[in-house]
Amino acid sequence: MVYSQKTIDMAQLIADNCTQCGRCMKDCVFLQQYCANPKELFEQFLTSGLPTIVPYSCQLCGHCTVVCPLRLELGQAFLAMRQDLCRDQKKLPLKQLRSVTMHQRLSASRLFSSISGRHSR
Amino acid sequence: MKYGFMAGCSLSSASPKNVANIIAYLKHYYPDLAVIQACCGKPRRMIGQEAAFQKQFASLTDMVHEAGIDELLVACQGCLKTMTDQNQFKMGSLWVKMAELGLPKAYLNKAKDSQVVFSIQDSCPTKDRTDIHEAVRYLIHSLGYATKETRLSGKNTLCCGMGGMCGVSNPPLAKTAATKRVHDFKTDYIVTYCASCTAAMILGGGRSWHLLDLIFGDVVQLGDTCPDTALHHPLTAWANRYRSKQIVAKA
Repeated sequence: MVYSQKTIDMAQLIADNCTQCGRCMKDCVFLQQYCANPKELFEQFLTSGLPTIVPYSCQLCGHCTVVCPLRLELGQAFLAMRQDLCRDQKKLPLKQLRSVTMHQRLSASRLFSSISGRHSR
Repeated sequence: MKYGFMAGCSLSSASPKNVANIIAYLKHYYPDLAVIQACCGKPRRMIGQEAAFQKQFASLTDMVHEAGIDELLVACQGCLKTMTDQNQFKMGSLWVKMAELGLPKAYLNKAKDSQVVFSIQDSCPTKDRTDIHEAVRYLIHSLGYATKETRLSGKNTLCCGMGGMCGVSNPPLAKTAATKRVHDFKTDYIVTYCASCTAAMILGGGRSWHLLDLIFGDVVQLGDTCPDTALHHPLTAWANRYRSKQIVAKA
């Protein structure tokens, strides 16, 4: 996988600046499962890469950014990785994501969509 | 000012009855209310398919314009956050609007004799929306329920476990997160204002109700267990979503 420069820059910013203070680690079960601290995780991403499941396991809730003294945006970096991993439109990076695309196709279908009250003006 | 209402995917799939309840409530104040059932496309954005997301959101924007809506009231914080980021039309939180309009008199203080103390699972996409946090608490207290706050609420809230499509990508981790969340709370009764959060709290072993269940449903008493959620049964969820669509179409 060749990641975009934008993604690499976002990861580099975190690897370079994370002070390993541990505030984001305290309540995040995702970070607790995959690393000792974000610095280590993003250094690993930049040197040897990360298994696809890692960026797809972040809940993108942004709690880490709220508690980070430097407001580092880990979620945005994981989202950027996901966008890169989805660049090949024909193949999903994880097979379980097929249920998301199926769900989205149904959600967008006429069967499950409607508007009412549009002509009352 | 023409208002519109959109429940969002999870609420439509969880409770057609509450979709109908909200439409009736809003129509009392806004008889020319427009109602939309659609998806904002956030799941596409979350998995990294930004172009497909933009296409889906553009279709929603067309629906909002087609309906002639000046402000779309939204029950889902995921939708609200997505719409805020996209900034294509004016939108507002259903909860803030309900706090502004007030609850029907029959519901005020209906739970004043209940001993249940609710913890609140604040939705993570709107953690910076203090107005929503305050509106939700105002509504719960208006019903007569007591609440207890925790360290991880309001702007410090945590994901219920289902955020970022983790529930699909990594179900065991999502369950761990949901279980942690349930244990974080100091009371056994949890109220959420997102149908996905309600389902997650149940998955994590908690007793959880959606705010609309508290408003329109029976008073929850100490010892009560929560109803099952349709979101854990895909066929029921899609059947519900179809029923919600029919309710919206006839609104």
